[in-house]
Amino acid sequence: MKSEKNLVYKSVILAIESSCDDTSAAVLADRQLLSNVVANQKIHEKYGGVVPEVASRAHLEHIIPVVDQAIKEAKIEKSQISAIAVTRGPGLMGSLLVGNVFAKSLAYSLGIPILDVHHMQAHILAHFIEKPCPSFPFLCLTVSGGHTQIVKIVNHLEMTILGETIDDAAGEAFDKTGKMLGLTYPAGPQIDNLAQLGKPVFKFPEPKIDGLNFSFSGLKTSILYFLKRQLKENPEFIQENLHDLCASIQHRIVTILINKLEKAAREENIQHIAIAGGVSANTGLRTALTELGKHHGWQTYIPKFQFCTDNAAMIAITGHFKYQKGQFADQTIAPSARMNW
Amino acid sequence: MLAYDMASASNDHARQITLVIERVLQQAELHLDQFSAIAISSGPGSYTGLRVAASASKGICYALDIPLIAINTLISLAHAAEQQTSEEAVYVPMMDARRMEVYTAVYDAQLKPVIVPHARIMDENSLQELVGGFDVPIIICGSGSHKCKHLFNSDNMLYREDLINNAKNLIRPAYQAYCNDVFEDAAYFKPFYLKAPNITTPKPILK
Repeated sequence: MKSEKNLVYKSVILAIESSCDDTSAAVLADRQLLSNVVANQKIHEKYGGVVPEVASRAHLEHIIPVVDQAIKEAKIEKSQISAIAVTRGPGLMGSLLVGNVFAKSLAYSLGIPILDVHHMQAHILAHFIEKPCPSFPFLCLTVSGGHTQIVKIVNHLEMTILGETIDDAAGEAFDKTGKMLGLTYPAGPQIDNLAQLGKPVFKFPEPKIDGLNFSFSGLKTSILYFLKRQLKENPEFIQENLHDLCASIQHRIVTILINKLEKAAREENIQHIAIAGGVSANTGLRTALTELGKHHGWQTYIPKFQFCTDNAAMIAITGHFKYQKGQFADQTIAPSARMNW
Repeated sequence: MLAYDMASASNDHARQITLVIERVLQQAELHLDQFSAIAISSGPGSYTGLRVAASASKGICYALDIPLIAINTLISLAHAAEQQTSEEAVYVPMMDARRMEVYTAVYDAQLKPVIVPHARIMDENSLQELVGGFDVPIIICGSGSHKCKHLFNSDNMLYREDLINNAKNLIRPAYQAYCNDVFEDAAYFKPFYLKAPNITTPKPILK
């Protein structure tokens, strides 16, 4: 019964994502997500950030168990896989290397093609894993620990970066200011939770950056000096004001993001607006986009939590569109830490 | 041995690995599904190099359901040296690490470890600790052997800098492992890195 049903799949994509500290594998058959397994690496918390060598070693130990679980949960056989999609970049070199080399040798051994996927494009295409999907053209604010971009998407595989950060990413601003407050890594989700108990009473400046680009390093410095000044007068300042500090930091980061997104929507005259990436899990950002969308009459798209952070389902759906177009890579590919579009 | 190939472009292992495998298969006129097992160097060595070999072999072993064999890089060098030595000798393979450091071990004539693999900063004393007290010839080989050539030389020491790591060195120990059913669990195999990652613990920014 099972095998008879499986025979009808036209395409089965196995996807592998290993660009940072999560090892993930997913199976997508005829555009239907059958499994999406993510193995987190909790070990980095005690080091205050992702340690590349530790991450690389963990990927190597996780890769077979994660892929095997994704295949078993999807109830398919290895021989049914049509192609393997893999994150080629951008990301940490040692981490990417494990996923890429494993994907290449698995594809080679199974005699099937490789689909190389750009991690940031995949974050955007995560919106196409489940319905409702955005209509073209749409704008996407892609925000994570490593990236902050506003992208115009013309169709599944055609997109242009309209603006991006010139220094730190928004997620980095969350994590680094959280570190100043004494929060553990990753501080972003903790700031989000604590912010909900406070009010944005402390005002931090909005950087004046041309066009649709972003900057977060100045904000980081101004928060650092503000805290230093306050701590001189009251050594308990952070503990006594933690909720309001978190609310204020989150409010400023979110308004920097949203103001540029609003500018992009106005300039491009586009009403379909999406967010993607790890920071799109942030409650403040999700609420702000929903409210601004109502104000402007935009159609807004906010991904489910499990598709915000790094996952292989988004690599699988991107692989699916490339598979449809016959955009295959070959065995000569190598991972790329700073991959271009 | 039916076929041998090597891509010498440095820092390009990830691109080259399956291409090199494909070339040796063609040379040997074999198909991938004829493989009974895959053997790799388990380490010590460059972390990236070890990871590429381990990732590639995991993919092949998982796809084809065949076993994984892992051979210590130093013992494979000792095998190579032993095969080219006619008299009874002691083997001291050395692999280049950072600055004056090498990964090394000492093996007797039967290739049993006298001193197990470890990292060592080479100077006259440390070399003496390794090879002092043997009255048979001492064969020092591998990519790290040049680091101590100028430190110490005696009549019974022979430097074989030409003997370096390659896939050929794996064949004999790998075949022995295969015959004795000494296999790794491909799913959970990790290379013999020898060293823990170099990590500094974070300090608080304020206070």
